[in-house]
Amino acid sequence: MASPEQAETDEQKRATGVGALLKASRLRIGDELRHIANILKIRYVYLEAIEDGRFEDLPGHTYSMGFVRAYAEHLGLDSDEVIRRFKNQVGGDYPEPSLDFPEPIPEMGIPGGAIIFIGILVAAVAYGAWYVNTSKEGIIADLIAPVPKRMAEQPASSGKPKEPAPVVEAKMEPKPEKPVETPTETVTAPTQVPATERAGVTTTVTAIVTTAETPAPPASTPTPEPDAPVETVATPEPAPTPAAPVDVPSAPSVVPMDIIPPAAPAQASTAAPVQSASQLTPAAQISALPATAPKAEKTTAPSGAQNQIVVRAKMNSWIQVRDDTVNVLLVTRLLRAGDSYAVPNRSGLKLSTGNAGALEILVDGIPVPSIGGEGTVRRNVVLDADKLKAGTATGE
Amino acid sequence: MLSSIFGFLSADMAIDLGTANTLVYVKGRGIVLNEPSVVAIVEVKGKKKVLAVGEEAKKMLGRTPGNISAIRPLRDGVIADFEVAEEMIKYFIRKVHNRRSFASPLVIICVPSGSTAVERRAIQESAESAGARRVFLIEEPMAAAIGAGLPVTEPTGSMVVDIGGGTTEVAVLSLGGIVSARSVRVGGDKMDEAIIGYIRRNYNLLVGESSAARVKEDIGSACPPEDGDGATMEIKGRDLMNGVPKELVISERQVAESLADPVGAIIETVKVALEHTAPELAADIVDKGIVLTGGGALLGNMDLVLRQATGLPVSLADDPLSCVVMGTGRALEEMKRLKDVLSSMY
Repeated sequence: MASPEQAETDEQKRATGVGALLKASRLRIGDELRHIANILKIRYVYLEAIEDGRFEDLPGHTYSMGFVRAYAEHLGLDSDEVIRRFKNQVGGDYPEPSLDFPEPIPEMGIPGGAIIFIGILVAAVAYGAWYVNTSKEGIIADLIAPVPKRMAEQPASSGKPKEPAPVVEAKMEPKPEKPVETPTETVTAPTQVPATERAGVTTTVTAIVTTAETPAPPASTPTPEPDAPVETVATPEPAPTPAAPVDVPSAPSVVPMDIIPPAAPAQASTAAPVQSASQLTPAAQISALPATAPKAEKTTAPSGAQNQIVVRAKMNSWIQVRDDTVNVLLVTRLLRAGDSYAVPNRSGLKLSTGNAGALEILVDGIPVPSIGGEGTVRRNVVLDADKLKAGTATGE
Repeated sequence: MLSSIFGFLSADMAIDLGTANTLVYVKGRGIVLNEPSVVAIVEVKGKKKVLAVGEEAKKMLGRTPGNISAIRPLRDGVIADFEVAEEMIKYFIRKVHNRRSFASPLVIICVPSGSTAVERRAIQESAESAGARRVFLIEEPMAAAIGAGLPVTEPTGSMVVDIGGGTTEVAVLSLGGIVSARSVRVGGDKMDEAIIGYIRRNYNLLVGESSAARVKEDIGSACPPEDGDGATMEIKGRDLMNGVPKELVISERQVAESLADPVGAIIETVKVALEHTAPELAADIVDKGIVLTGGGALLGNMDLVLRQATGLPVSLADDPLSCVVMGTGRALEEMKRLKDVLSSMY
């Protein structure tokens, strides 16, 4: 390992180094190494190692220096000078002891990096699962959206074809010969939507069905066979009118079924003259409950028909209509400015509102006295045409 | 992450907050400050202001007019005057940590192993309010042993005796921890007091602390010389009999006699520590002996006295005065590796 030259220089160093100096000094005094070891309490082997220049046999740099210093002082030498020489001789042989504190053996065999990698993997999988899950939900939602169509098919199977958009009808309608009559159906029907959700959906369809039929034939054949209108119309009419008012509140789901039959014959009646149409209107108004189209309200009130109460909002106002006789809630909604709600023609209905002044109540299209000032909360306003006209509806 | 940025921006420091001297080690720069732990406070219109700190203040010690007081904020290794100590640390930090540094420094301060939690907290808080970003504490014997270059992390016993200004710490260390430690509140200060007391009793001469310290440093010895009176020295003070200033010549033998008590206390502490050392560690210590650090180690014949009393080889550390701060500095440099020896009060 060490070349001969190096061994020689080492030998030389030892011969001329601190160890040799100390040994020479000791021999000059004529002292015994064992005696010195006894005085200085330094082990004999260590002193021997110092004299022989075998500093690596000493316990450590600090101790070596201490021993050399003590030995030098004992021999009466300049300890600082001896230490300086000792440091020169030792040089870099004694680096600072590296302080490696004992560390507990890791309990797991898995290294930290692997744990981190597994952690990231697990997180990625979890995220992926979550993403797939949520996106699936999205698909389901997409599937749910067309549900109304499917429901629309139900009446179609039992009744008739499928709808076009109500708006189209509204436009289409006026074109036929008697524009005044036909719209009444289509328009008034929509306004009643909210009564009960489920019933609303189905009835809309039925209402549409009727109207969808109406324009088509008139367009092609302005006045077809007026042969059997009386029967056909007559049959549907009595059925819906009594059935609807009773059924709608009590069991909404039944409503469509009741209404569907009249719808079917309605196509026959569409071709039929004005009469039948005007007769149909009340039926539709009572039971059918589509979505929008408040515009046509004014035309609503069929002049000759029963009392028609329409609640129109000038400003946003919350309304609630209950049927007290059967204790059923017909509607609870916020009427936005311009919205209107056609009250079913029934007795025993009561209106509650959070902003009475924002409501305009029309009876047969004629405004009645206001039921209260703006911001006034009114409860149990009797929706009775006469009382409203008289302004005593709120009195009770 | 953030701490490494702060560490880059600030000059983190290790402080040996000693009773007699305060040494500051700055990361990457070594020992940059070594000044006496003395603060001169001046009272201006009822408000106390720092007049001088360190060497300058030490000159004022015992020579101040009514409005100035030169205070040593540390006694027995712990803070005796909290506010003044804070001012002193603030001054040292400001002096060392130049304004160019953006972040406040991380500071490691050593505390006596025998100090109480309250005393440690006082040191930590004063350093924090003096502007340290984070304060860690290290026990003095551990710092001294690291500074002296002892193999503290190896499975072998090492005994270190650190004789400081206020306390003497005796500890046996192995595997990076303190196996047993003894701390006695005897150190350089007690030696000064012993000299003052001895001269007053025997010569009715009252000498100041600084004069006594000078006597101790020049001709102090742990044991009387074998023959004769040894070296002599003049000492000045006030005669207690007639109240006039007087000069006296004192010999090494007299000083050694006066120091018998504190030296005896230190030896006793070392002996007690050895008694409580496990046999395996004791076996290691028999081989390697005791390492002396601290200013007290420079007292003449201290190693001889200890050697005789214990029968163990006693080695004087290289540069015993800076062992503690060097050890603390090493803990600062190798903070990640030496984190086990650092503590914090909260």
